[in-house]
Amino acid sequence: MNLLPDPVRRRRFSSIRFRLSLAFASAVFAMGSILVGGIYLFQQARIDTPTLEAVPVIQVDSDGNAQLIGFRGPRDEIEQFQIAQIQAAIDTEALDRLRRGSLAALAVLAVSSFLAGWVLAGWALRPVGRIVRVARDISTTDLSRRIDLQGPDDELRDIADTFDAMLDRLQVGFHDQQRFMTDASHELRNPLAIIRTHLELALDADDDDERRNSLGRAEAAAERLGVLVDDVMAAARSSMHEPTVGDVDLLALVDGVAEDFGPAASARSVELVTDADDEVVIRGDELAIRRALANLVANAVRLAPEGSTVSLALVQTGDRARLDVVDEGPGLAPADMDHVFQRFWRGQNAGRGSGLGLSIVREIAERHGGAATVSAAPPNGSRFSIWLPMTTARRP
Amino acid sequence: MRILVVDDEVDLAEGIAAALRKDGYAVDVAHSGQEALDELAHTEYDLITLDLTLGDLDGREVCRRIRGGSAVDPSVRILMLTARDGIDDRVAGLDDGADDYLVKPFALRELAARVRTLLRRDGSATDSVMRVGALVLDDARREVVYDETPIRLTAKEFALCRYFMAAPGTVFSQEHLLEHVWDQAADPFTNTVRVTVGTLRRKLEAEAGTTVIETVIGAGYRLVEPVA
Repeated sequence: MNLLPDPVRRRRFSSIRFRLSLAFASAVFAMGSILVGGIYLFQQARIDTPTLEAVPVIQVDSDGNAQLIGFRGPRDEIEQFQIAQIQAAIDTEALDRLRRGSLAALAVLAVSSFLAGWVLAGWALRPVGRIVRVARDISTTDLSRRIDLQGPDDELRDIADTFDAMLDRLQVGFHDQQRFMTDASHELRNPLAIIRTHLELALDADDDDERRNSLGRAEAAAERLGVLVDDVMAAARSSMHEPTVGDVDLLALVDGVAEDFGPAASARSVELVTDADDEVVIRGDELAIRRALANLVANAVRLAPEGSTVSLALVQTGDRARLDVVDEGPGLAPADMDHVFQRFWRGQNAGRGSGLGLSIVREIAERHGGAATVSAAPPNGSRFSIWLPMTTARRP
Repeated sequence: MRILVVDDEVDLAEGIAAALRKDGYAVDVAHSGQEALDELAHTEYDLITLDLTLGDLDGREVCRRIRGGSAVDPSVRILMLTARDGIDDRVAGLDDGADDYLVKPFALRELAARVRTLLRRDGSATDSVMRVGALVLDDARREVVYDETPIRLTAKEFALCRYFMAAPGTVFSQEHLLEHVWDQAADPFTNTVRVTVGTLRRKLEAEAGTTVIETVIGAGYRLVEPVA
């Protein structure tokens, strides 16, 4: 699929090179015309029109011989008239030549300035051609190539560098997306393999117990597949969702989440308590932060032993706010603590989770310039924390 | 033939094991890389199906340890089962010592066929049919035929018969048979081997009318070519 216009397409009268050359030629032509026209008019203004009427002038010398020496003008100034007349004749002739010469020169100037403009514009626009060629290559091949324009630090270099920086970000985003897709498709294969294997076993079963057992496992795997697909979609949506940044009242948020999970907690005989007194307000994306905290609470409530307590706490330490979710078990192996926030990581006790919940928590915390951490909460629980800066450093 | 199924997806491991057991193999299950190495250290397996992504040790690491260490019989066949289907993944898996590679989700029939192929590789047979005299065993169709008369065998008898036919004339002790044809569920103190060898021998000899499985006193049993 080719989304970019063909850069080698021959544009004639719409190309910027042509238009620049034309503009350059027009400007030079206009200035030339004014100059030449000015000189012409100036010259013309100083020249008297030739004598309208010439009268013969006869000089009589001492011998009485009359000699025609010229023509007499109206003002009766023989000598002067003579010179002025000749001058005027010469000037008129010169002016005439000047006009013809100027017109020819202007014509040559117009053509040569267009050519000069064409060459200059081509020279100045050469990097644009390179930018377009590389951009086209990148769009059809891979995102790892860069324009990497060398040369003076000018406007075109700025364009190329900006383009390169944009490609850097695109490449990172694209790779993230691609890895997510690969990971997700691998994760989908496991439940699919279970379903397929057990369906085949059920079809080939010797008795009803065996069939029922296989179908039960296939059903459980199908359910897991459903959860996984939901979470993959949710993760994709959360990375696409346009963040709305505003003041977030964390105290109200903690109370709200605790309220939401009240029924789920009491259904499992888990006590859900909050330990938050002081109002803490930060800048951030409220929906996202709420989702992150909800993911932590959902995990805790789902996995906590019956009769245990899950507590939510809000603490402000220096320039950071911290949301804690502390449970009383079953706890995490120290080796697992490094992995819990990885995408698709699922602990031995995780049950039906997709392995995406905690990775979403980390992503949201990091988008706010914060972090997500986990530590042991003695005697055998875990403490999951979301750290958020009081004023977000980066645009969430 | 004894097989170890290694997969951290419990339901999948159990499913594969159930399918392989139906084909008459002795199958054990391990759910982590360490568990697999522990099993391998004290049991002699003929084949391992190994998941590439295990919770603790990477499947490739397990593979390298099996091939690199002296603790495990190097003739053990390794069939990698994995969700990763990239060419790089496959090449890496095979380079680490896997004999074959199967991408999830797979059909059980294909798994069974690949297991048969791998287990046959050291033998001379080129298809799934083994012949010893007039005795013919078709592994793919799960059939034993003597002189064109089918013999009905249970899964365990079939597995035992196949084990004998893979090496005719070789004497196998009861312990060896217990190790290779039965799985962990078998009680080593029962006389299950003796009983199954007995029923298999009766069925085969009823058809052949001559000695097929011979008892070597103090050593074990061996298959002799039945003279029709």
